[in-house]
Amino acid sequence: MTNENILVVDDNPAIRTFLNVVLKANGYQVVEAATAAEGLKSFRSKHPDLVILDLGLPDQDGLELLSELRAQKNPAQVIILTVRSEPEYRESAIEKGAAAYITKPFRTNELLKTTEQLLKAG
Amino acid sequence: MPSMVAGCINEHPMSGLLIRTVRNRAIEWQVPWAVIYVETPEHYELSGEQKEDIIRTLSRAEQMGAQVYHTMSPSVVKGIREFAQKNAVSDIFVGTSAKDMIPLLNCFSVFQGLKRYSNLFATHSVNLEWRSGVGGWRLLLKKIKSDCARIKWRNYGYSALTLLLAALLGEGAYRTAFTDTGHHMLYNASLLFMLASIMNALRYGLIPGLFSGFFSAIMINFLYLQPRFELHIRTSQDLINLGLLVVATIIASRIGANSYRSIGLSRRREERIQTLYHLTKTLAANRDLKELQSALVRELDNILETETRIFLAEVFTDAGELPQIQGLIGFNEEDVAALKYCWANRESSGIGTFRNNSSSYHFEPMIASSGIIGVLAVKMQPNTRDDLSYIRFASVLADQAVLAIERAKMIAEMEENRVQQEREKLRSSLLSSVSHDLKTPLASIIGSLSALRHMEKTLSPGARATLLETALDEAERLNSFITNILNMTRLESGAVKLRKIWIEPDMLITDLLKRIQPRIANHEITHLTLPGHFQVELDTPLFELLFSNLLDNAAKYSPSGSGIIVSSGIENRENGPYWKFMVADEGPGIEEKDRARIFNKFTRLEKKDSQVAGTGLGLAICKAVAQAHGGDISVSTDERGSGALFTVAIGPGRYMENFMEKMPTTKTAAEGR
Repeated sequence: MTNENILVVDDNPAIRTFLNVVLKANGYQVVEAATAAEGLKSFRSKHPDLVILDLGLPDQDGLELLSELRAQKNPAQVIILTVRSEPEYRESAIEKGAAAYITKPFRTNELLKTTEQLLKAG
Repeated sequence: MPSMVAGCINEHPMSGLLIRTVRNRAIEWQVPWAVIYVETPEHYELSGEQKEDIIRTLSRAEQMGAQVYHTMSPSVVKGIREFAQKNAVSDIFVGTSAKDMIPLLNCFSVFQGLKRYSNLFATHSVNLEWRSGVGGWRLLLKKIKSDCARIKWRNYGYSALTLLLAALLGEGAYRTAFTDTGHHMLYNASLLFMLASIMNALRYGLIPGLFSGFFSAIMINFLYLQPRFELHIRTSQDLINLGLLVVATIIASRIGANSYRSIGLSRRREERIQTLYHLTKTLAANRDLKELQSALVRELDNILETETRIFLAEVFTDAGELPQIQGLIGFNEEDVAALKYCWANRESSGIGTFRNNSSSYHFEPMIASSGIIGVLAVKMQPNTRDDLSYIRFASVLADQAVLAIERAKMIAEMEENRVQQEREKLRSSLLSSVSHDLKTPLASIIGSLSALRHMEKTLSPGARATLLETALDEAERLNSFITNILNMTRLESGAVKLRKIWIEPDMLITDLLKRIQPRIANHEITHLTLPGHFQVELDTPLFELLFSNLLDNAAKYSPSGSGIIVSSGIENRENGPYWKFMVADEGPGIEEKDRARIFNKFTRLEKKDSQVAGTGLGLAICKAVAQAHGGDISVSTDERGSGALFTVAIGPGRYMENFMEKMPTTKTAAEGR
């Protein structure tokens, strides 16, 4: 384990808690953010290796934040984790540079597998 | 090359022959055709029957495909010339009758008059009367007979009486003032008779006026010219005097009659223009179709000074039948038949037309660009049934009505579309809202449970406990959400039966606050109770729903660590004292414009609001619960700052015995703090 850094951006505290516990148990370091602004700030200061991003954020749409994150100097891989299951969101997210698109509710295994693959490839 | 042919009709009963001739010529030449009627002051001399004939002829021409024109002009020739120039008419057809055959006299005929404009158009005559043989003579006799039958002899009688009066006056003056038989008397008498003749012309029309003129001359000759009481004219001077008198009377009569009529005409025109303007303005103000229809009928009744009815498309079946409807009350069979004919054929019917003209109504089709949209029925009064311009005016009004109805329909359609779109939007937002609210807690639950199942070995006991707790919390949240939806549905459908008990509300609040505490632990709660004993009838589980939603709402929309004040008060209303329950937070508050809206279902005020965990149902449930208790809920700004202050009023309540006298009645606890 290399203690890769993962940034979780989600306004739902339950999801953040859950991701925190699960990711830490798998040897990752976790940074939490409840809003897009917080997320961007943490991204700049913590330089995460991977971002798990919700689309429905209180201050900004997750897709916009995705574009901003991908435009940073050292862009990280982004996994979108959202309740939006409509294909147009998925297409738009992939187009904007998301590496994976997982809809809620989801299986932990699925998320962990994707995380692992992306970190290995990156 | 002929460009357009036109037939000029008049009251002649054979005018139908003229329009058929014009139509045949138009077909032969393949050009458009028109039929024109020029209304001159003489129009008013016509009998009602003759005027009706003209209306029918025009109406028939319209049905045969002619463009129909009705203009007003001092003379027929002038009217036709102007019309022909304006519409580029190449050929004019006019009817000629027997009197046009008479040499010399015919130089005043319309046909001869129009021939002078051969540089503008060709004039053709159509003989309406003269047939060779016995038939022709018979027709001529018949016409003379019918012409005589139409003469209003009474008017001539009155004219003669007026002249007689003039003669008596003259005779009286002659006997008292003058003994001499000089010419002075002749001049005075002449003026007297001239005055009488002009009065007759004004009162009874041109022909009685002219008749008076000639008759005056004879009387003067008989009474005042020497030798008296003889029709013998002795000097050429007398002859000239008499001749001048007749000419002056004719001219004065004509001018008098003309100006009298034209004043009436222009006043009527002015009135109608005003009316149209007024109508357009009134109708534009009516947006609703039902309202508009009744406003239209009201206006038309006023304008046309009769009873009007509007039958819109929906009263007719597909087969053009009229099922028994209220609008038909007072219609006889002929009226209904005329109405049906008008609807089915898109043609005027009833009085003034060839179709069902024994009906007492005139039916005008209301034709819009999309086709016929209804029928305007105008009850014809005896004074209007022969009025050509009245029927034309009704037709113009029908067009106005069509415009107004079309406009109202378009607005209604747009509104319907908008409502449909709103509903669609609401439904999809409802769906996405519900699915979002269901899936979010499920994500944590399924995620946590699947982690517990597959990562048994990697998870520490602490981590496992956290995951279990998360899953449980979220499951509870999900449960409360579903309960809210169910409650809302039940409250809305009226399925909830209230089980109310009398209770001291503050005791209930204290109890409920304890229960809700864990959910709002991040806020400092202050409970201001009512200083006294007051009871109100509540369904406690339902009130708990209201309470928890209101408290959750306050906690959700105000910063962590801020205070929430829960207070009670009493408000005296008409039917007794109401318990006021207030929740004040330190959040951003609710803007004035949003205050009514927030109690609607699935209303979330700002974009970011949709992200705060919630259903958009909470306040709608609060409102439903308050209303189920016969109360209400409102929101204002907390007087301490910018936060929201929700006030629920439930009642009427009651003061408990023995405490009555100590009760503050109007001052509330909240105000007292």
